[in-house]
Amino acid sequence: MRNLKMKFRRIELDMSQTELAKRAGVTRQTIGLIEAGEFNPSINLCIAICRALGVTLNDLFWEDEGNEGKEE
Amino acid sequence: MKAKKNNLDERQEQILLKIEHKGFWLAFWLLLAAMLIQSITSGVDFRVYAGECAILLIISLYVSIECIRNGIWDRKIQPKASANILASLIAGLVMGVVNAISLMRFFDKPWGAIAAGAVIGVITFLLCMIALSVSMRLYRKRAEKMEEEPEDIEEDIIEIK
Repeated sequence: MRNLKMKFRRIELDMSQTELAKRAGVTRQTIGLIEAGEFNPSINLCIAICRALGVTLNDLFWEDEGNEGKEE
Repeated sequence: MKAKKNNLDERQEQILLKIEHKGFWLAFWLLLAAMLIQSITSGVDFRVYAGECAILLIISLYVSIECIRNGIWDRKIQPKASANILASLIAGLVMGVVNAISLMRFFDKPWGAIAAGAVIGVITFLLCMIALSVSMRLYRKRAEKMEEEPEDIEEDIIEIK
């Protein structure tokens, strides 16, 4: 499932994937794959991304049951 | 064909991957050790361990190609010329010593075997350096391409706004 919330927050902060990747301590490809829904990050990486984007885990990674798998 | 259901949960899956990872490297190094021992005990008869050599070559090529394709070099070692020189030196030294020992029986005096071993060691060092330098170049090219920033697709931006 694509993570559009993460992408939106990143764009909102006018941040590139490369910049977010640097702040979260991963490669740009990893950020791209998370946004595209092709990689499931560990909880530690989720926290690092949330910290870099100034949001909580709920804001980026929580999906209501009805929405889960909607964009797969 | 319907894929079989995975019986493992996430934790078990991770443990299995670790076991498979360790099993792979154990097999890899034992195969290499077996080849070196066979080359010492059988003299220079390559036919004795040609099968193992082919398997090791296929495994090594697969791992190298897949790593480069995915922009991965190593967990700890940086892609630097100094690391390549050190790795090539180790490979050259091991091959030199192993071949010098296995060639002892063909020479009356040990100096002949040592000289032959040294030549083989130098050739191994050079071949390793070439292989590592080419791989490093390909890796850098690939990693650079993969790190290129994509343009945020307009459709996505409209959708999330």
